[in-house]
Amino acid sequence: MLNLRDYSIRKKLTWICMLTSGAVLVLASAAFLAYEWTAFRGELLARLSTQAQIVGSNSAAALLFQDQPAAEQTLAALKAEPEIRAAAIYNREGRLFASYSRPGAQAESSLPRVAGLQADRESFEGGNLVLLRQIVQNGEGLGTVYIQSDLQGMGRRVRRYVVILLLILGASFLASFVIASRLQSLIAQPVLELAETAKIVSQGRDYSVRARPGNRDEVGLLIETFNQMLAQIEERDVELGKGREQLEQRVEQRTAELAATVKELEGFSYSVAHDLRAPLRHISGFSNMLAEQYGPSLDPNAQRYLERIQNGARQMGMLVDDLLNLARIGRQEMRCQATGLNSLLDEVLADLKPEADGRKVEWRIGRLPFVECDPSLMKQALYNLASNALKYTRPREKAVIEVDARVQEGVTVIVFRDNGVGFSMKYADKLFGVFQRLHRPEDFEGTGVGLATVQRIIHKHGGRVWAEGELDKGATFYFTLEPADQKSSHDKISTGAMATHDGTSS
Amino acid sequence: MGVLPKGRAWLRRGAACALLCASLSAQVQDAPPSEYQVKAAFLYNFGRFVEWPPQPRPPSAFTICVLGQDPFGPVLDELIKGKTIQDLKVVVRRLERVEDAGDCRILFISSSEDVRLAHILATLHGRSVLTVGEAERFAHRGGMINFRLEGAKVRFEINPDAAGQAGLTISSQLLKLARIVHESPQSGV
Repeated sequence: MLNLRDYSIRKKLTWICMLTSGAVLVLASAAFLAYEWTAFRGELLARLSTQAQIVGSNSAAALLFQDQPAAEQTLAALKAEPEIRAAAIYNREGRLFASYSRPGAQAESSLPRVAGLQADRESFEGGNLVLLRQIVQNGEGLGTVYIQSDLQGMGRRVRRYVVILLLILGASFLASFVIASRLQSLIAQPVLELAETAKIVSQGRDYSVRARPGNRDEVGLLIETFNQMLAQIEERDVELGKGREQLEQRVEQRTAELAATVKELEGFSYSVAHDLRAPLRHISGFSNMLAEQYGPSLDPNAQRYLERIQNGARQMGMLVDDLLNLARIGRQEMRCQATGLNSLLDEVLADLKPEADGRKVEWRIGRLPFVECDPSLMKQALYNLASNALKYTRPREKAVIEVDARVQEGVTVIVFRDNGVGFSMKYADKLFGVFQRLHRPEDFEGTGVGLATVQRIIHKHGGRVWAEGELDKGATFYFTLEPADQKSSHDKISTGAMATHDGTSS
Repeated sequence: MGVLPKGRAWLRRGAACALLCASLSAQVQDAPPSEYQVKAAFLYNFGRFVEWPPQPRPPSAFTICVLGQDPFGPVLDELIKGKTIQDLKVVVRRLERVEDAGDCRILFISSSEDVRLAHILATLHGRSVLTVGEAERFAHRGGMINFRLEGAKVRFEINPDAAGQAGLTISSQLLKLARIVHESPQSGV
């Protein structure tokens, strides 16, 4: 059984045509043959019946006048019908009156015995047609004609028909194959062309290609629809492109607005901090003078109040300084140059020496890379991170602070790890906010501006900063920097908060 | 010489045909039929193969007449009992004189009338009567059908000219079985 399913449309069409025409031809031939067969039988029967009638009426006189030779002469005329094997005339008593057998055929023995007058009948028995016809004259039955005929002629004719039909069948099959092969291109060709176009479109992602319009049939409709689809995709592409452009424009616009706002805010906070310094200097200056000149004469309660005022003023002074520093970082132009982080860190550690005095502190410094940065800003960031680590390891008997660098997905990551009090990851996103503090001022002093400053510096350099930690298990700070050979401008405002979030989850 | 049969097919047959004519009655089936039983049947059967001209007064019966001394006896009467020819009941009449043969369709002229044959045939001239005889050269002398014996078999001669003159048409089937003779009175007796 041939499996049509996986054949190409070309072959399918050809096969469909050929099978259809073949089935039609075979059925028609079969019907024709069957009809011919019955027609032959009917024809033969009619012919022999006529012969019997003729023999009968011609031999009526011979029967009546007992003239057997005349009857046999009449029968001998049947020689003209080669199918007739034997014939006989019986008289009305059923006795054989005259007989005939085809030359070469032994028919005498096959003649039947009949009793009296026989009714007309005919039957096909064993490849023979046997026919009995009564001889009637003036309404009186005189005897019976018997004719036995073989079906050889019929067989010959049918065989000839079969041969002719087979020839016709073969020729038609060939013709239908040729016609189908020619005609299939009517359907298969446009489909194949369409498939080729679709392939070009899907491989090259070129939606400007169009399939060649076909005829006005279903395939043509398919091609038309396909082209419409391509047009729609192309249109959508154009719209998408426009949308993206608009979006970019809008983002740029918003970014510019945001940058302006940020600048304004920075300016505002700078001037506020700056303006706060003058009254603060009065407060601290006069409270100091008060303590120096009138301190001893004040009662202890007043002295304690004065001390509180002095502490508050100092605290506020530091805060204002830090804020001014932070604001300055925002406003300051960066002057980038290739800088070795190891040497920068050494300077920082030297600066921090007094703070580590009297404590056991182990610094584990790895090999840090050269990076393109503003050295003073970067030093500030390293200072803040190192002092942070020193501060929060104070409860530890021995502080261990590691600084190292590694390359992660093509980006240099600087790692500050300490074994301090750590923090809960719940607050990881608050660490870098201005004035955000996770500890009470009584436990760890500070203004809550240090890490915010670090973040601003790193962002200014186009890097990211984030932290990982666990309560009582130390904290790790990471920031990324671009290596020294990559020169780029970092003046853009970066979406720092988002970067921080990304970092904390990694 | 003309009377001698030429090589006709039926002459070559032997006398083997012992079968009785289909028209014979059942009682004689077993014994071979006598000569006059056969002749009676033939006489009756002739009526089937001869056409008479239409007559102004339709006859009431198909009459078979026997002129002169009757050689058939009861055989003929038994044979035609209940028979019809051309839808007419068959009757047998025996005549003394030819002048009485007015309504006869078939007239069997017995050998006893042989001497008067010329007169009889002359009397019947112009009338549609089928004359059948069994005398020597009956047909040659102007009779229409003449029985003759070939061995034990009864055969017959036909003089179609005589029948034609009487306005009778003899079927070709019958002619085929007969020996055809033509009138030749001078070569006779």
